[in-house]
Amino acid sequence: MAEPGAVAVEQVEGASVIALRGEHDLSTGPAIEAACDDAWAHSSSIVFDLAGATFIDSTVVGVMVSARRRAAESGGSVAVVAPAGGPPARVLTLVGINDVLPLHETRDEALRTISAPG
Amino acid sequence: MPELARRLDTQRGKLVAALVAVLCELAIALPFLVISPNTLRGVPGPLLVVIGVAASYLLGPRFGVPVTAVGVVLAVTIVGENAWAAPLVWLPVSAGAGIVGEQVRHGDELRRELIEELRRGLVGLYRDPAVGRLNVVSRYIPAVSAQRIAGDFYGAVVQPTGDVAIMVGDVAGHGPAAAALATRLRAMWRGLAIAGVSDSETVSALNETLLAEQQRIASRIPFATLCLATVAADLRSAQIVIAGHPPPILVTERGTHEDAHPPGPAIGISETSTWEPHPLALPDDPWSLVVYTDGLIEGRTSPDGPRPYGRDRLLPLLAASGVPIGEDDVDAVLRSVLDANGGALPDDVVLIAASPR
Repeated sequence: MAEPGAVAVEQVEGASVIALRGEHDLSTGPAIEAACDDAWAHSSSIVFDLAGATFIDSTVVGVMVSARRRAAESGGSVAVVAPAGGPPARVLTLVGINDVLPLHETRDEALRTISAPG
Repeated sequence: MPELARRLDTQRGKLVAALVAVLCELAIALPFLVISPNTLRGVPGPLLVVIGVAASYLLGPRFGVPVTAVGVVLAVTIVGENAWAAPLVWLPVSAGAGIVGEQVRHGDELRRELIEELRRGLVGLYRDPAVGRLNVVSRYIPAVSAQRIAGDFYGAVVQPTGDVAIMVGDVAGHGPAAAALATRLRAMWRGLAIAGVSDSETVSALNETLLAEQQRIASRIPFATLCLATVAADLRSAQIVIAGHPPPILVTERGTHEDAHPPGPAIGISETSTWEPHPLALPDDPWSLVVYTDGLIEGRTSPDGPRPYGRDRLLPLLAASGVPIGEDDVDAVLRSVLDANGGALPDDVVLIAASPR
């Protein structure tokens, strides 16, 4: 049975981590956007943790691209956790977003790039 | 049969409206069946306003308003006290209800027309599959609801050299903004392709346009993906340019070959992005070149199974079609994908198969 999409936001080391589990598409897009608004309210850095996501479509990629754009304009940062070979990493690599938004294997690795920018 | 589909859609809308009206009527009339009418003076008013809205929705204000007004007067004079004063209250209300009903109906029609017109701009339905030396079979399945609109678009044109340029694109996001942007990108692609501009220059120009649009209208469209395949007039090779899109699939009698070059990034993400064309050799034997949007492979593997359907399942389907892939074959592929998903897919789907004529 397919796992429905779940979105969770938590504060870790000064960054907001938005963790997605299960399947995410147009139907969960608004929930992810709401999570972003919540995250921006608490910190200027967001980590999208897609390690638990079994499926994402372009809606989710779009939310992350928009978040990256907002971060670039406001001096914040965005990092993505998507283990190589997993479904989210495949979609993100195809769209070519990994050129502008590098993918990380683990949440710790992503958090390190955010705490030590540049 | 878009005309038939539209009429069915309209009929369904009317049916739903009529059903809702009947249900409202029953719900409001219920008290009258169990309680004496005299204890509920004036209550029929709201019921008749509902009927008025429904009548206006179904028949238009010319009939809806008078029907409501007459009904209200009759009901109030029969059931209520102060019979002759009541119409002074309910007549304007019923007329207003009739006008609201008409606005709803008119808005609905306008919305349907807009969606249809936008879709026409996205795909430009081809009656004749012949494009230059190719037969281009195309299918476009709009997202689940006929009332929703997404941003898939495609086209095929003959260039001055006799080459055939095929394009499939997908604007991220849904709704009128995505569809309107998609029609602009498609029109721009078409103009550049007919003028014989190279595919990589075309993609760069579309990238600049999308980035400019994002600035100009503070658009919520984050990016768009494109696949351009230009088949040489001698049918011996094709040039492929990919911007964040699933690669084309070459189908021959020996099986399928998926273009394995790393794709360029989607457009609308960075102004420094570039796109390199790479050649695809075409065999002397019969072949078909298949391009599609991700909606085709993002459905479920089975009605209760996980997503996505995936390329691994699509490739054997195409191989089993045999070449050249014709009208019946693309329909069979779509049927398999829809059956696996257990019905309509959540996103738009474009599927195109181009074969030598």
